[in-house]
Amino acid sequence: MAGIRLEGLTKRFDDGTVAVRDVDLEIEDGEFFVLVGPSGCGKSTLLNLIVGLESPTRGEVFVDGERVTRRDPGKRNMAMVFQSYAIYPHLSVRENLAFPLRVAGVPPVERDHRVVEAARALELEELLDRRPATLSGGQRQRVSMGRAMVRDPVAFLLDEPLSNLDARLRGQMRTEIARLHRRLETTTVYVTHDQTEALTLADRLAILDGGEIQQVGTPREVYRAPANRFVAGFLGAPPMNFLRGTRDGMDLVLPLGPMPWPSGLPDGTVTVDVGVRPEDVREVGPTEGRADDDVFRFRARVELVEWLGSESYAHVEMPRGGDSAQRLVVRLSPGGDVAEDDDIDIELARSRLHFFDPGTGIRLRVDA
Amino acid sequence: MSASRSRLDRVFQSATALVVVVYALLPLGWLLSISLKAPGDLSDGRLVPGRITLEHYRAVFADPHFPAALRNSLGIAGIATTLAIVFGSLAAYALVRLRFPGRSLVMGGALSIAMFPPIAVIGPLFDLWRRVGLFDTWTGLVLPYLSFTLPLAIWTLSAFFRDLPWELERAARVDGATRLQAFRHVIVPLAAPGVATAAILVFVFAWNDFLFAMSLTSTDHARTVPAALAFFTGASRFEEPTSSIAAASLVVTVPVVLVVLLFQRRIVAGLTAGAVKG
Repeated sequence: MAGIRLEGLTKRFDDGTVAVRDVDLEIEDGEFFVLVGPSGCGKSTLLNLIVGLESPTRGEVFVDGERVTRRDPGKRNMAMVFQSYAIYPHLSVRENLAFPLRVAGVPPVERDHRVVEAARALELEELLDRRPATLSGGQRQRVSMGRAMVRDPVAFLLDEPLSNLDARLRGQMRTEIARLHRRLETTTVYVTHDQTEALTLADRLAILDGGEIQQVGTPREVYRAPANRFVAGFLGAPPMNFLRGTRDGMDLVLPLGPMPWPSGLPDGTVTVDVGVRPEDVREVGPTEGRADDDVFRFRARVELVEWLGSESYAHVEMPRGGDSAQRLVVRLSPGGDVAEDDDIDIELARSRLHFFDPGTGIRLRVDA
Repeated sequence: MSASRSRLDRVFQSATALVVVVYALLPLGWLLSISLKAPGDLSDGRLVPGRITLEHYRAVFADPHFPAALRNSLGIAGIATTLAIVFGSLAAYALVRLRFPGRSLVMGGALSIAMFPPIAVIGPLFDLWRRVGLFDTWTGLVLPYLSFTLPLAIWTLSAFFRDLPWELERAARVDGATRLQAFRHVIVPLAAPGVATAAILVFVFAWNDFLFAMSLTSTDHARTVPAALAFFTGASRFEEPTSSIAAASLVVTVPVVLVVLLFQRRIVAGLTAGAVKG
């Protein structure tokens, strides 16, 4: 087991594209660390740099304080699970699991022992003599995991391991991976574009965009205080609502109405991007709620209802949308049956607003 | 409608296949017929021999030169095939997987060598081999066979390597295999159909070659079967050895057919099924 440290890691491909730019990252020993971002954000390249399948243009990779930047992938003793599983099709499940041990020169008796052990942990014992072609997607996934486990590696690297599975199996395997990590306590780096996987699995996560790390933190930290507009919009389903606010004297004017200009915003700011998560824009009964300055309260017409079973969301017209005709996504109260074209009462606590610089997208801190 | 359509399709398919098979097998059948005919019946104009005799086959194996020629053929074609596959697969792998300057130049160069008419090099090669002592040796034949078949092997194999899922090799590398181990344990077994195809092509080229064998050998020391057949005398020196040559031709065709059939079992599509989600 080992911690992984990346210093100023940059990867420029031959065609000039920079897939990873200046990444500094410290992954702690035993941590479940998730790299998340949209496709093309460089997360898989970053993983390949860690395992050594790509060599960086600049920067260093340290494992347990030891520099491994130029070391062969096989010599780093990391195990990787590929999106495509990458099971050797000409070998049986048993031979697949034994492959890393075989090339490492582990004697056959111990090899067998460890293969059976890994197979038992993943409930693969029945399948040991089968060929990969006869296995289902979930079983292949398990074989791929087993091959990673059998070596007792210093770290597990998983590259979108669940994205080829159907939704039900994905949830099941997700739980299984979490359980496996809790049991083995091996440092794990997990690449995904799926925010549910990222938020549920991660001890900490890094959000990447355009080859650069946007934010690193625990799932709660990044969800509650996104470092910039990108992170704010990327995490959360349905995504955060964004509004444009302008300064008017001592007021901040939003399409929802005016509010006192938040103290703490940098001097000279004239416009801000304001974000609010759908769950913070609540539908309320007409009589409910207090009338005070901390809350926006308004009535709006429902355009569309998204019913998801356990929760539902309404897309409503902004009360003072003006010509922009912006929509706001609102969480509906559970059990209600709001329909399209209904008018509903909505409440929004001002303390729940996030402020971003409209130019750079960086989060602006305000005094509570 | 569609049922009768597909039945019609099948009839046409079978008819076409039959024509092709007959066209391909007719010369062989004719050869077989000649090799079995009694000496006097050779020009009786019948495809099915009236009297059947194995006399010519006996003559072939009684000929002192034939076993030597067979040994030479097997040895030379075998060595040429092994070397072409070993070097060809390594070269093809490098050409497919590694980016280096002059890559396409190597591919193009290989192709142009394969296109080169062998007859053009026979004269100079004859002189050269006499001078350096390679005339009438196994090496003297293996070398030209290698130069003409290696490009073939490289092209065939690189086409196969290109289609292999690259992630398997990456997985092998992460699993601790060196590049060579990954190549040997993962790439080559998966490319087995390609390796078999290339091996057949190379073997058949070397086995069937008449030009080099005729020009660069002079004795039983290295003369291969196609060349030896030309010097065949047959059962008796007073008759044309047509039947014996036919018998000998059949005897040397059988190994080729066997090799092809043997390898064909490995040329099955879908060997890579299940490696990655397809």
